[in-house]
Amino acid sequence: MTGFLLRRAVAGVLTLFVIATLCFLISRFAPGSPITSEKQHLPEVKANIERHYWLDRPLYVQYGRTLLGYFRGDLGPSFYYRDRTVNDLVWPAFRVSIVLGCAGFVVAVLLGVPLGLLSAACQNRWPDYLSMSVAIGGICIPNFLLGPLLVLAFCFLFSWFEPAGWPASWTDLGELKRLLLPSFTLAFIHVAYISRLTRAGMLDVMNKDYIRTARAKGLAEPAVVLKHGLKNGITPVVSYLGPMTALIVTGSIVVEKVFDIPGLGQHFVKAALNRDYGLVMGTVLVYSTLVIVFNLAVDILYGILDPRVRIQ
Amino acid sequence: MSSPSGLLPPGRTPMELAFRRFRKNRKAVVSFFLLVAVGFGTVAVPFLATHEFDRQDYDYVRSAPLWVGEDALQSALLVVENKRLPDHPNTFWMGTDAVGRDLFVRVFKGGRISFAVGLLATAVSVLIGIAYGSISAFAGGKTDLVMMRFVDILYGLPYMFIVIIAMAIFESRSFLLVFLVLGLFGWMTLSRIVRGQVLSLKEREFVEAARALGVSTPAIIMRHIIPNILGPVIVYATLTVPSIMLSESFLSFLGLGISEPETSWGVLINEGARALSPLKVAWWLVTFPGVFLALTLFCLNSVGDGLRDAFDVQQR
Repeated sequence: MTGFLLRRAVAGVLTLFVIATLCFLISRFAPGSPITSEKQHLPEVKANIERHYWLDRPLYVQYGRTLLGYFRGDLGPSFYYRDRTVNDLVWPAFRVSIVLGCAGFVVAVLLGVPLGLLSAACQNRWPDYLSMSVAIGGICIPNFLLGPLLVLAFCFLFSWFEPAGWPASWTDLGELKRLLLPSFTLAFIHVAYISRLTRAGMLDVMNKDYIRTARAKGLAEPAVVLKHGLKNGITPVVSYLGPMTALIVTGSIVVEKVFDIPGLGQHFVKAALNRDYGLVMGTVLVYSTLVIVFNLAVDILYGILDPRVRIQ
Repeated sequence: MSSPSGLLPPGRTPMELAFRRFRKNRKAVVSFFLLVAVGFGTVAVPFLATHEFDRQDYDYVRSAPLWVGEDALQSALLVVENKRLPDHPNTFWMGTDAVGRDLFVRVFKGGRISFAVGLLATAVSVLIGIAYGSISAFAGGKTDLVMMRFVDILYGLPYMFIVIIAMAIFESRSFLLVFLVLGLFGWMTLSRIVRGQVLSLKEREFVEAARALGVSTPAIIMRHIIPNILGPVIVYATLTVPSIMLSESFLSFLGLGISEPETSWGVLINEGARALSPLKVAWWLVTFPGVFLALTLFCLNSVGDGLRDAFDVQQR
């Protein structure tokens, strides 16, 4: 287990290193950035700009300093907002995005697992068909379509929610309501997947001998399902949580745009449109770190849940 | 039943058998014909329709579809005023957008781009995937190891980010660029599938026989390997088309994909989402492109699933 985790951690650090190197190369050589194709400036101004971005040093020095900066948590300057560093821009937005992402994560699991349990318990009856239709909906209604449709239905047709915005305070229930539509939009496709995975896992497990033993010794059915069945039936879901993190990150870019949430995704898209490579690379690095750390956490969780993994 | 001299019933190729199984899958067949209908529509409608996709009609800006009744228009929920000009009636089946362009034609015009990007990018990624996977499997040894490590690294990179950055680097966001970028970063899974298939195929007797007869490696790949991996490749390619269409819509929705004056379902959904304002709820602008996108994704996925069941060796 430790060896496995260590290997995964090293692979994660290596991936980050590759991403950081790509980031550096792109930001130095991509066309149209303020660095590579500067407007006509006075020589003094030009020299100043070059000094500011360390362009007067050889490339390997620039690379080393950039990597060292990343290592110390300094994401460098923004190329578009001249007086701001990427850190200034990224961290406030990161706090918003991580709340949104976690909310989506929790909604996906809290809706997906019970739905899957229900449809496994009522195989080929209406709860099963319900979860099947959710699964089909998840495949053919992408989040950038679901978001506007939900806004149309619940904000304009029935005025239950505000169409956009982010909770201003975390204690006011009316403000917290704003979190509901975005997190559901973000979670929807994963609700679909998780419910199908839970269903398949549970149907597989509930035919096992040890479940029959549990029933034979007179355990109540809820205890059989939740205590004995779920622990093994949930493993496919746990292994899905890793890839899900990456998908939630991509999804949050869309959800933040649809609901106008001041998160990292907004910065990322705007930076891409402005060709602010400094900010693009900063957001990508933060996102990648997040995904890699989450994947590692899922691996650990998997090891706790399934002791067989630890022996391998 | 076996008869000794040429009286055997004609043999069935695996393709024919798969086709027979596919034909029995009603959902997949219906989906297939729906897809053909939508695909035909995207080609034909822009030619046949009476409105140009980029013609602006300032009498009907953000106007509701013509079949929306007067009472619905007057209702408090959907405050929209439809002009009733006697000499210039509303002729827009799906309404018009924020600058008075006919949505009906635009939905089909956009569908044409979405389909084209999906098919072309899939073709690009399938070609790269087959070539990469089979070369890696045939080369074997260190080359194979290095090539597969490279795929692993590409896998580790966040796909959507790479694509977004690539789109940001190139200033002209043309149709060509969108499908090339999506195709160039979408071949990794297929190359793994192909490699696995080729690794097992190249040890088979008929390949050994071909080699013994002196057939060159490229000829073996073209003649003996590729026809045998076609099944999984077709299945995977069919399932790649919807995922690429989804990526294209995603990019276009963010404003990083197809751009004006061209349009695609992602662009239209984006315009529709922005047109949702409390003053005038132009619901048709997001609903119609959305329905077409959802329907197409559904059909493509059912056809893909149908093909997978039809080709799946395990289920026979």
